[in-house]
Amino acid sequence: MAERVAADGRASSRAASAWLIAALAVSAVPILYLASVSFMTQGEVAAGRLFPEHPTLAHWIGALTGPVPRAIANSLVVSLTSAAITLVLALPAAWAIVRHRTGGRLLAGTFLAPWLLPPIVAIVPLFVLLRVLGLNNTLTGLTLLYAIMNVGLAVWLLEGFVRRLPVELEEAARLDGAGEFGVLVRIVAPLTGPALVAVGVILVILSYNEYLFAAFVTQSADSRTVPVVISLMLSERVQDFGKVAAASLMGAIPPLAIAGLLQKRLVEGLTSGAVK
Amino acid sequence: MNRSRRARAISVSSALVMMVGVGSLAGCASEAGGAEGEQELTVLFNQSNEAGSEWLAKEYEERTGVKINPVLSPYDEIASNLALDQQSGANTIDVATPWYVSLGDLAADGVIQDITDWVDETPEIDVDDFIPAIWEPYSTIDDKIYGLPFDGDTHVLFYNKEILERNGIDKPPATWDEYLEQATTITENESADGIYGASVFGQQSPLILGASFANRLAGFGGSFLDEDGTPTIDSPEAVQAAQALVDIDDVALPTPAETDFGVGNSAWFAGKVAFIENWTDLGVKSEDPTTGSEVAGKWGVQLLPVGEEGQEPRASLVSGFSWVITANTEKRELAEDFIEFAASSEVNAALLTESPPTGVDPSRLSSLEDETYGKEFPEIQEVNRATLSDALEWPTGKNATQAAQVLTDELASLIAGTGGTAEETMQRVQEQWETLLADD
Amino acid sequence: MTDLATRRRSGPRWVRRGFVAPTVLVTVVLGLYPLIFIVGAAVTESSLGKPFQSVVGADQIVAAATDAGVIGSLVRGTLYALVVAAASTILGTAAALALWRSAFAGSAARIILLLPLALPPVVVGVLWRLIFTPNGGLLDTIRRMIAPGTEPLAILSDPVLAIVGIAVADIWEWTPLITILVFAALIGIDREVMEAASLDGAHGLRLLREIAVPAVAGTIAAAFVIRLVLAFKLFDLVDVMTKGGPGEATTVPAWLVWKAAIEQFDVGRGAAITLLLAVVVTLITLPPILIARRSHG
Repeated sequence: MAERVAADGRASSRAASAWLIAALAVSAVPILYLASVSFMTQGEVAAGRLFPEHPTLAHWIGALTGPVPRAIANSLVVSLTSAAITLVLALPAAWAIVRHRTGGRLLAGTFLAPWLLPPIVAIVPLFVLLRVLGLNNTLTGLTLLYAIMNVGLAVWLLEGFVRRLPVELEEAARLDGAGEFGVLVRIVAPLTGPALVAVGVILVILSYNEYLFAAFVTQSADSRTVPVVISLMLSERVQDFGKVAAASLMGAIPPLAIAGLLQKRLVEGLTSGAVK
Repeated sequence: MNRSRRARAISVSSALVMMVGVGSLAGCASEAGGAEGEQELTVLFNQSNEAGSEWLAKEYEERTGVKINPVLSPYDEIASNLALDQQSGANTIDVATPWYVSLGDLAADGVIQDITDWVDETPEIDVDDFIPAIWEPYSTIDDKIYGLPFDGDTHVLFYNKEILERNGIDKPPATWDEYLEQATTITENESADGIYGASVFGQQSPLILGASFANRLAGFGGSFLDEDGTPTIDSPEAVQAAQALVDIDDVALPTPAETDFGVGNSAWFAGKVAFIENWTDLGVKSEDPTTGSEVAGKWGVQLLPVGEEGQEPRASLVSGFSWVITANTEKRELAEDFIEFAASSEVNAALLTESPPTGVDPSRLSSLEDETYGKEFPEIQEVNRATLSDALEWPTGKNATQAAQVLTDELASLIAGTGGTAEETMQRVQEQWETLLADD
Repeated sequence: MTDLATRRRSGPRWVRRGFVAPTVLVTVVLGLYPLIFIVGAAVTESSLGKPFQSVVGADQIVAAATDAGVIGSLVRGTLYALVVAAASTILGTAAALALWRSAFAGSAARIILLLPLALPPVVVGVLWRLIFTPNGGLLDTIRRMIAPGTEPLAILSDPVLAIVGIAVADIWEWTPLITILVFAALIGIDREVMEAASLDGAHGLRLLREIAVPAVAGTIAAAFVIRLVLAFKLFDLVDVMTKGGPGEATTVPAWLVWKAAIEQFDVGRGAAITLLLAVVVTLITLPPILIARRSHG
């Protein structure tokens, strides 16, 4: 039997494999349970079955024809756009903090501070802001909110990347006559590409899954995001866990897909220096 | 290097432009139109009145050509959504149906309009036709009218005839003690099969746990406030009611603290519990094939148990909703016309028997006596008549919502075993209520 | 390296900064604006419908700081955050090490490990509420299979176990974040360093302890900080699973703020509690932040 090689280049450790399998089980079993429930009727769920006796597709079909697909579209648009905006705002800020010590510790702290707190009370002033901009009860407004909310985290994560960039390249560009903005756009941004992807994926997942602001900002049925739609299902007078399970899984497909497809990129991006 | 950055910049900016475009379109669509041609009204409904909202929208548009935009909200978020909408200046909502208990706080915050004059000048509203016990709490704060009753919402006791028979019980309970005895018997006999004596709503939310408490308080003859508006929540009756909750906790469907409407109702429809306190429309739903009910034809309904033999049963107004007009709406007249329609006798009667079930209960004397209602659901009609005599209503003035939350939290602690005795708990509630609900 | 660059900066620094400033400015203003509102609301009588009615100074903040419920919630929140963050970090690091040292760790393994992170917290709450449901949930079904005839387990209704139940769901959901952060750092370790160490005779656990873990200590610390902050902000799970109950057993600070501001319309009190929480969070996260910054070298 050929020796199996692990990620660090050495022989595979049995202890590590055992622990990994345990971790995989812990991650997968609850999700498998949720999937199983999505094929059960409420009677079967209440009876405490683990697997459906008479599997039904009704919940999945119901989820397809209900508010979920629209909610997925809304969530995707909002999270992708807000992540992009956040990155556009965060990269210059991270660079300014690291390279120029702009504002020093105080500025760095100012970025991080809003992210540290539960944003509940902030709903009131942000609502007013949206109204002033004419964006209340729109997905655009929600996108803007998410973009602002996550800048702190993005700056924190990007600082490490930017710090590791070779200064010589920037110096060279400056000697060639490039201004600050030029250096940023032509040197820093491309070099941090993988990191931007990695942080972007994290931002997309965080925005997609956000509930509190979405519940307040998206009042009308066609602007609801996935977490809001699922939460509404929970407050119906008749419980149907199977229906909620199917809708939840369907609504979770995009972030699962993003995480799955991009996990390699994510790791690469983080390896290029993230929070090291 | 340049290209990728520029490409990204371009795609981001075009995405932004698109978003703003789509967003403003969406924004236009969701805000009430107000242009010439089609008129619109945005109405905030409770999530569980979804079927009712659809019916109302359809009917009203057919009659008047005005389009109704229903917006649904979970039952415990209506008041805050309303307040935020008005305070932030978003003003997207014209009419709403908040829980009547929040009327006082909404009025104090300037979120809803004083409609006293309009009501006085509009005899068609027929105020006297409203069930008296319902009219006052659902409409009036400090002698001013802020709302019209939408949904009566009293609780009654449903029982599963099959389960009772199986356990040798020939009559449903008349007192809360009998209820406890019967439930205990059933649970002892059948809990191994997943069948329990009762389903009790105990989730820590005023509309849920509060309802269970109010039902018992009504039965024991207690009140939240006395005639002067002073809290009487530490009275012997209140203590008995709290104790009754503690007693049933052990034999009820596990566990009341995790039982909200969804869980409790599901257990009922699946035939897993013998007793459940619920709105009268549960009967309608139990017979309706679209809810997947397995108890069609097997249930009975009666008034809630009382404290002692021979006591007069009282209705408990647990979660009624009122029609209100928002403070900043620009469509005052249209809103008035709509709520006059929605609170009318004809509409109330129609909503009682619609399928899919709308979740609405009688709020008027005339709809209570409606023929169709009586024909299709005579038992339910009968128990709703209890509202004619006396009813227990929640406090509705300023800080009422907070008071309700305080009571709920203390009761939850009591049931969980961390609140001391029932007496100690209710005394603590009384103290806090005296501060909160003191007349300014 | 960075110092060199900054020191050599000369000339019109402001002009150069200016090109970057707009984005920074916009971000700062938009980020500070809610903070200013919160401070303003905390020192005034503010309701949801009518903010800033009258100035009450520090009274409201003091009242909140001396309220037993608030203090209890802050203490609860702090203990919860520390325990959950520690558990997530340890488990996440262990999983990352396992990924690093096991040949089973392919794309499939990594995707499966990431799944909990991708689920919306609302869904995680629903799932674990289902698992913990005393009549019919996954846990209860297992109990009936292994120990029939015993009392149903009602984790979320138990005053002591409820918060443990939420912690389990919380840890399950966010540990993958730590895993990928630490794993990425591990595979970035110089191969030569590892080879040299193993040539020197270091194996297995010793290798891990003395070489690998210290090499990624900075990442672990940073991940711990992120996890700590997330744990302090816990809200969604409480909303779906227990609504703060039973009693006050799971009333975490964010839940308290929500109740005050949104349910009871008392934005002033909500803001006061938020400020107190800000102080607590800053105090607790400062040490790990400093450690993380120092390890960045």
